[in-house]
Amino acid sequence: MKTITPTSQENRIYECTVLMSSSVSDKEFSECVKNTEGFFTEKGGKQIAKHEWGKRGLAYDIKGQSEGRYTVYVYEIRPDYIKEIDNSMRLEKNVLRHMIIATPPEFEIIDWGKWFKEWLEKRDEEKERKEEEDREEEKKKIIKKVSKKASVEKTEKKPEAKSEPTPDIENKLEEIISDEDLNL
Amino acid sequence: MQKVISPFTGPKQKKAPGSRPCPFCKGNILGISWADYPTLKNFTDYFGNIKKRYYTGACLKHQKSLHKAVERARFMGLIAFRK
Repeated sequence: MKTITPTSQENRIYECTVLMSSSVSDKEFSECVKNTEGFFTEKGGKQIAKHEWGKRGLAYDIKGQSEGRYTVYVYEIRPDYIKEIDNSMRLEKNVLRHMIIATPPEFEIIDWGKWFKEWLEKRDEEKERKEEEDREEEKKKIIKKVSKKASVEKTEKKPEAKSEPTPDIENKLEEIISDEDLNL
Repeated sequence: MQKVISPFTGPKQKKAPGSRPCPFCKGNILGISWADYPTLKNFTDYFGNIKKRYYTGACLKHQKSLHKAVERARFMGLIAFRK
């Protein structure tokens, strides 16, 4: 990543983020974006970067809305005009929150929306992997338990098997029963 | 003679968690962005408070920039003020 430096000494680099309501239609949204860009271009601002994060849930309700659309701009502009732009943005419709920051010297342009989506995917993958591992461990435990039980039953059954009547004894018994001399 | 146990010569205390190195200095991170939710999340409490640097090990310079980033993220609705 490269750090950005302004082209002239008079200018400074600003990061402007705008949070718009998600309930607005696409037409109104594009109009709002045009207006916000217009505030900078009117004053001779030069756009360096623009990132749209898309719809995203908010940590708390802002003006009765739990979702919003973030757009982040990076502009190079003279610092004298920032107050005017800030005031005009405050009056803009469908803008829930806005923030203009003078960037530090070590500032790097990163698409944080993309970064966040990648992080979410990674987190979900890790969760699924952990769940699978837990399931496998449980399976192994159950198999171990069953095998232990089976071995115990086998050891218990062995003496019982000896007490079972052998075929010779059965034959003898039948012979005795079938004897006609015995009056049963 | 009965032994007198002074409060200063008790069992050995646990090592302070503040002795761990700064996680930002370790990764050569110069500035902390307010939009970096995954990192900010690790440095906030269950209730939404910023964790003390005694427990995270962050140096004073990074703790200050972290504080600024969290406040900005709260304002923009990324992180809750209170849970």
